[in-house]
Amino acid sequence: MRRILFVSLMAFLSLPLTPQPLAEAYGPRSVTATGNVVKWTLPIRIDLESDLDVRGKDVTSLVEEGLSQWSSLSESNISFTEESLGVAVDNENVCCYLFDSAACPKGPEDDGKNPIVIDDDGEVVGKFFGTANRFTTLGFAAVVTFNATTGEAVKGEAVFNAACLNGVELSGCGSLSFSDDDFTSFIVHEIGHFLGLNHSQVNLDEADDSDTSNDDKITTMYPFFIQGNGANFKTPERDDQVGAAFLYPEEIFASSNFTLSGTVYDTNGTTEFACANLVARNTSSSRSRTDAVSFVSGQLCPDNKFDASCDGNYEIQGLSPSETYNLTVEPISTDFRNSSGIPPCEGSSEQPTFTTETRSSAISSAAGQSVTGANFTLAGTSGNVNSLVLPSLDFAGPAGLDPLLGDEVMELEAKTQTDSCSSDGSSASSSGGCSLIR
Amino acid sequence: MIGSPSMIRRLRFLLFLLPSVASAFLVLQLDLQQMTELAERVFVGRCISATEGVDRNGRPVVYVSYEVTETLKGARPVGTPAERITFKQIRMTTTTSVSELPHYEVGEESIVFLSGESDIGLTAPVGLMQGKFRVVTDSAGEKKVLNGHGNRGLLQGLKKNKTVKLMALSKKESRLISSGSTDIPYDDFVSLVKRFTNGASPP
Repeated sequence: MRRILFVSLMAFLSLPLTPQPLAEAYGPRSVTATGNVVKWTLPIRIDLESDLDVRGKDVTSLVEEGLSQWSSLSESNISFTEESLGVAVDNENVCCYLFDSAACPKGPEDDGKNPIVIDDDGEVVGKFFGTANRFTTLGFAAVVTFNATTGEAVKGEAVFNAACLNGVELSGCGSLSFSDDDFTSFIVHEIGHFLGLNHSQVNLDEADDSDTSNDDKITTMYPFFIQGNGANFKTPERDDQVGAAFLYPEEIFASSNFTLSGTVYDTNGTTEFACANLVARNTSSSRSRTDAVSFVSGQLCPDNKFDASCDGNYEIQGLSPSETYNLTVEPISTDFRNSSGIPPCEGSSEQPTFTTETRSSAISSAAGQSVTGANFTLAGTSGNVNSLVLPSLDFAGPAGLDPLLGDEVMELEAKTQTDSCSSDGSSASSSGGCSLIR
Repeated sequence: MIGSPSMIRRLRFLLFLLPSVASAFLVLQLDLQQMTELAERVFVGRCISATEGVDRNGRPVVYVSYEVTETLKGARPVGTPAERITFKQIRMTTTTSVSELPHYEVGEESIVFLSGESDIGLTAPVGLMQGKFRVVTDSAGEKKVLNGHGNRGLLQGLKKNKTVKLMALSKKESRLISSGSTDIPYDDFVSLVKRFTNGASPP
């Protein structure tokens, strides 16, 4: 049994507060059915596309800097081995190398390659999300496939959009121009996803206000980029650092910090409540915005399924033994339900809400120790996510189309070009070419 | 057919059990002027259909159809029935992650800032979930608009924007922009979009 130290854990006072801008947690994007977190075995292989030149501007050093922002973290053990993909990836051949269940559903899902792609004209992004989004969707990434039992990542990929890179912007960028720091921050954010990290929205106050002087508090894994904030955004905040160390810890991470854990319960005090966001924030006014770490209850539920078997547990790691923390429990904002990455804490209009509460006590402990039993019983819940019946994600084929729309859909499909590498076992790239070995 | 590349691939997938995760995005936080400029079409309408399917390239998509009540920017595509817009958006399907793309509910009134279609016929609202606004009525009975980003950043920076400064904004519009509020009345929003569409001219 772990020794529990409460150096200063005063009586917990539950103080209903006006809901504040909400935060979400660092953490893994996926957990297997057996409860293992999805992550890479080190060192992580990456396959850089061959064309790192954006209209005459070499971005190699920016990619290297983006990778090093994660690999240089002192409490994490992250290392990469760089290979060459051996081909320039563009919108014509992207699905020969990338797999995505939606964008490239017939791409290679276990070819041993983890493509890192510079989308130099935004056409890769534009292919899937339309012409305007080639300037505004700045990148995407994921561990796209993993071993269902062990959680070991099998294939990952990352795409960075360089359409509006400073000095070589495309004419369609208009007033959009992203500095080298901005572009590097896109890389850092996407590599975070590539490593297995989820989005995080700690310090939404700073992201929401019009004061740019405090934008350095916005986490790197915040899902929106605020123009001009690259120099800050590219540096992982504490929540990002803890997320990386949670997945890839150095020994020093556990031994030099303490952990705070507990369970969130529904109003009856016995039914566990998933999808509540817990934030441990430094009590010092000068550090409360820079030393804040969070976790969503039930985030480690097997297979990310928030069914009846899911618990309301949380575990906030990486808290400094020389500091004290306040703990807050908040609902995930419905404004961010599409960004949490934690179904069904998002994407469901029935997403439970409750009264935000703060334990106003100062919590601290010794290095290497755990504070357990910091439980919450919620008030004013609108439901429990565990009892939600989630819509099926199975999809119907064209036969299931609404007859009302039949003609319009046929028309849409008639003008849709056949995609390269879109059929099993074929290679049909018109530019560059690709050969798939399946 | 057993032995076909497709079947072998499916069997291998099942044997090795490779679940997949949808990609996560980083999106530029857009203000209203940027969103209007970038959109090919901006319209007010009611969603009459959101049908999931698979397109000719095998991608899971949702076919979305709106009955348009007002076009704020862009012309209807040739051949489209007079008051209807239908488009195709990619749809995430994995159980281990969810879409960061807008959802569509039949019957919902929305204002959509739609991107132009790609060569494979796909599109999405500009800025993904930022570019679709639900029209809602607040407790006081006032119509408001709300996007999937809680209207964050929508009016920020417009006060200092040189182009906007040159526009002959109404008092209400100026007040709204100065406030930077995320609580945005429908009428003021539509009025601003028209103004941004028409440049400095009044709507």
